[in-house]
Amino acid sequence: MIPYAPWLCWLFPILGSLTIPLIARIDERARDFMAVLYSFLALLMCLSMIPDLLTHRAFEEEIVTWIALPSPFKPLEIGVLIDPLSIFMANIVAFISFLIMVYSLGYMHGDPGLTRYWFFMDFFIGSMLLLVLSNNFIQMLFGWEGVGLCSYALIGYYYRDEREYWIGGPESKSPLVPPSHCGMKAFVMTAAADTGLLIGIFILFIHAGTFNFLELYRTAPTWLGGMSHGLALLMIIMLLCGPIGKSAQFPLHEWLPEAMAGPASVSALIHAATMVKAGVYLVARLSPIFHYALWVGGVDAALYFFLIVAWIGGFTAFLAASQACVSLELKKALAYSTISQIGYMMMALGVAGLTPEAFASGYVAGLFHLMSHALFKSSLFLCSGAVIHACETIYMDRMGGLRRDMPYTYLFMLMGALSLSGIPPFIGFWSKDLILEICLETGQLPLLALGSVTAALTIFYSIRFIALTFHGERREHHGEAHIHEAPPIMWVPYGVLASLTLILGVAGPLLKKTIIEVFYPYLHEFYGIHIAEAHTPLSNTLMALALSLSMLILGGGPAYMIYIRRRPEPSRLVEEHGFLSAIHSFLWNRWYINSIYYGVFVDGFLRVVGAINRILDVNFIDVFHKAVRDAFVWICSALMRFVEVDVIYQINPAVAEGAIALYDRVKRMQTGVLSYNILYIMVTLFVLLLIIIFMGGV
Amino acid sequence: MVVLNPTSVLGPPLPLLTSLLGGVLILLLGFSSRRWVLGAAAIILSALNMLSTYLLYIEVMDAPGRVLLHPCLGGGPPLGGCFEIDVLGVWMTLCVSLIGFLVILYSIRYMEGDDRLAEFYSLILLLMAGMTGVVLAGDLFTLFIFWELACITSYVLVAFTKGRWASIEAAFKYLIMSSTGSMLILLTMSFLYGMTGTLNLAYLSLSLKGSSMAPWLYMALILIIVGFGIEAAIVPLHTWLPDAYSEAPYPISALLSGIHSEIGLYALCRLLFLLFDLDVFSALLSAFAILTMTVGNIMALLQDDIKRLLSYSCIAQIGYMLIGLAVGTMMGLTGTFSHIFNNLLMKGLAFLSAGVITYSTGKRSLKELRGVGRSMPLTTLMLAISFLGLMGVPTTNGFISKFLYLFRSTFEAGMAWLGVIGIANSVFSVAYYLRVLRFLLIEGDKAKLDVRPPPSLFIPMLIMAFLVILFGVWPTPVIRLSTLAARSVLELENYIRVILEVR
Repeated sequence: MIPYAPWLCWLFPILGSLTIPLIARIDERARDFMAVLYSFLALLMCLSMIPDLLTHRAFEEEIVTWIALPSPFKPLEIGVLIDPLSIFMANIVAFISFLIMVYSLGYMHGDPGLTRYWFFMDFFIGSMLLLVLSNNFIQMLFGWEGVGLCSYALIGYYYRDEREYWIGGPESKSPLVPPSHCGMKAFVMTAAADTGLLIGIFILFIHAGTFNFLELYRTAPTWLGGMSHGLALLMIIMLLCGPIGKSAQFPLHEWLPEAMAGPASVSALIHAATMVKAGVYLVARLSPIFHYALWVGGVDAALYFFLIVAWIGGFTAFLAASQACVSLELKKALAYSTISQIGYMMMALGVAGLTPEAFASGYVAGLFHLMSHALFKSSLFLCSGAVIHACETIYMDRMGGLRRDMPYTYLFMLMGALSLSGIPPFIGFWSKDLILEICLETGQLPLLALGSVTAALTIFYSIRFIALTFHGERREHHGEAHIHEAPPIMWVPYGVLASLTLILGVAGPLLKKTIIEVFYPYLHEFYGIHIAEAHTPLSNTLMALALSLSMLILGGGPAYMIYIRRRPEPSRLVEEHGFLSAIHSFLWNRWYINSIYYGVFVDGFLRVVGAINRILDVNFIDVFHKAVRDAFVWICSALMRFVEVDVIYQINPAVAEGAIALYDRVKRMQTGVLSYNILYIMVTLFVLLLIIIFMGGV
Repeated sequence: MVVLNPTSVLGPPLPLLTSLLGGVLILLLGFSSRRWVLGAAAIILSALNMLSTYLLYIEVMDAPGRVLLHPCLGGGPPLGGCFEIDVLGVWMTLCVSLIGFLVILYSIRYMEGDDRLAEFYSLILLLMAGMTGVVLAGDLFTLFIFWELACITSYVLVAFTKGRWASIEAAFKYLIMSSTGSMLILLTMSFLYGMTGTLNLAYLSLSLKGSSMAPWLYMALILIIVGFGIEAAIVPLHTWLPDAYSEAPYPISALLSGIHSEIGLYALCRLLFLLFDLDVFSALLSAFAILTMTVGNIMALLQDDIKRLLSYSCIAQIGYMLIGLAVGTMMGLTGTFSHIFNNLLMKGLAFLSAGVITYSTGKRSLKELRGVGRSMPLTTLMLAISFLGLMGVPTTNGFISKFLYLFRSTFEAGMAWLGVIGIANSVFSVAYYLRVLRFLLIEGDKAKLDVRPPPSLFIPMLIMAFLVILFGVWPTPVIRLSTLAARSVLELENYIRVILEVR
């Protein structure tokens, strides 16, 4: 490890981001170069930590006391926690962000707001690394809110709301939304979630007396056991608010589809590969604490943590996948898919804690899927950016037939899609299989069913967006000249990411073994978590395998017929069958959740305010208003006559004049005549002596 | 058993040595050298002074009981002179060397045109030597010698622009008043020697602390308060300060207001806590604290001369520091010592920024400075940061020491009335800080500058502004050292034990 690497890897981009506006004054090329360089330095620092993965221990770099708190609370600290989890996360973040920064050089070329873009991108990378490397809750919150801020600023990157950047629609079917609204929506929803998280952290702090993750872990049964059942449940729900909001899980998932208003590179980095994983990271960070409390400390309340995570994850996976099947916007389809895949990860982490034995394998399954998803989803988003750039439309039904014009992009996007849908030997297959296997192993059959159906839906929508975009007829309205392959500076980054999904996929079993070798000893030695021997019966593995393969066929078959063979024609299919049409409209309207939220929280609020205005104001207040006003005026004029004029008018200037008069009095002391000054000394001496003589002491 | 470090056992403590010899060396260099040699030598010597302070700090922290003893004249205690160095002494030495370094860094450019540079730097270093000697002294005789060294150099520095009659007058006034103080201190010493037969602080403490208050002791108490109070500018003994500080060159004002008055406060604190019980002097000091901060703030309110305004604000800050001494608890003293350090940064920064304004415009009157802030944004920012600190706005270090320690300590010690008056004063003081900024920024048209301020003037100011903010968000180091310093004042047994053991 390079000395101080865990500090430098987030200090470089954060401090670097501050220099971007300065460098921009000097030279624009230098600015772009430096912005990428900062993320490269962060990557270098993270890579240098990889050898430490094999030491299997958690250790903290020197901790600096920040602010001392009154006892019994521990002081607030600034420190970094280096363990396999943080190194693993930091490397994923740094690696993908570096590739995306390179891609941005091409994708964002010539944009007038580039200084802002680079500033927020670098600041984001730094904050995200700060988030995953923090050793305590408070410091982590700085990173947590930092990435939220960058997310808001970058979603609303086209803040002038030019018509071409609006999302939603098409016009006839659903409303269009400007980017600034999308940014605000994301910010408000996640901020509401973070408020919950903050409440949770404070409840936890009051009982545990520390923010430090390792100390929280060591004392978990004591403080968690000391809480009443209801309080523990409240704290768990509040704590989970944060991850649910940040990772866009049901019921706080509605901001992510709109987050696609930003540039594609932003969607790839922040809303697919890294920031939305912060919630998964936090759950992974906390789950050993609750697992230890539950199965070693015997605190029943901790079970809620895993139950909530597992069920929210499973349900969200299905909910979002179903919506992805009807989406018309390419990036929105990918966004639904992101929500759904994060649901998988949450489900794996949740299921892990439901039994004492399966923790390690569930934990690893969740993190493995996090890594593979980061790879294939960022490549998919980058490809979609190239496609949207070329076609100048966000709607898939206006694309089509691009595979001959953009061969590289087609190839790489296909690879990403195959990995997403879990086709062997791509990396997505292994990680998804592991999650289904863990559900089967722990006997969580309802969750297994949800996961399997989602798998079928996943391949269905994957084939759908690939086919609509790249297959079929060219749409006539975009002229021949427009469509061209992306420049190498763009396709090389997503080429690398897509190739990795295949290369690592081929080496899948080996990779799985490596991850297990890194995490099992860590969980065992450090957290003392019981690791069951390699006991998975072959039948389970085979059954999971068979299940996922049959789901591939179940979902893939119809999708192939409808979208590639176009027999039957998709639009006709929906129109002709009333049942399908109803489902379509249900999914198209996002299960009506979005409408309900707007109805309740936005319109409802306005309506309540309006009602209060109508009922209270008009009928009640206004009647009294006049009387009160008249009385008030009467009293006031009386007061004016007798108090204001007679008294206040005298006092008001008196305060000001008093201060000045005081100043004048005191000023006299400052005579400037030396003899008087010496006299003051003598008088002081004398007065003090008098005090002593007559009062016998002071 | 006192472990004496071989490097320092032979002579006086290193920081004292570097500044004392440095002062002489620069004077010698002045006969032949070029101007830049003098500047470089001054910077190097003051940097060496900081380094040796750090070495002393390490030595003290490693010493048993965190107290070091250097015998010097006449074979050490109880009769001979000695240096007794505890954490408080080191903390004050650190303040002296830090502000000394920054001021010299600033003077390089500010005093460029002056033809008496050798004398100037030499006097600064000797002033630092005097103050270092006072804070490290272990007996009253040594303390008095260095006290006089510090005072005499500062008279000369105040009168450094000798062409101005006002400077000469201010320095003369300062000389007479401060000498009166010195005379009273000498009188106290004779009383104390007559009562106990020693001048060593530890032996004095051993014989006087806790004894019933004889009339002579009351006499000594009053003489100590008045004698040192003149230098510390406690109202009504402060009348020399506004003249002296506003007539001295800006870097000297920064140095004097940053640390010189506080040295008087240090001596007061040291002697009072060593010789008397808290309840003897607490009420008296509270009264002086209220008087000092109120008068300081009221007088600053309507000043037109920015330098004079800052001088009065300096008196007010002394008043806040007196609160900590009057409360006399661990938290109160921690507040006083951390406020001494923080005030050094904030008030030093204020004087240096005002110095840049005068350097560029040649004006000191606020009415003539209308709109100047808009043509000097960086300078005004520095001034605003120092003012925010002096007001005690959160995220500046002034908030930490003033509100979190000084005022809080009064509430915890059951002297809430003192804290309330302090807070009221603090609120009141906001008026004149904002008034200055209003003149600079809001009123008038954008002013034209005579000279653009050279960037090298900003180096010490940027350092200070950075530290003001840094210690506002990360106060731990300052608080930790101040707490140790407060502990060394309150836990006297330790201080005394070291002296007794060496015998």
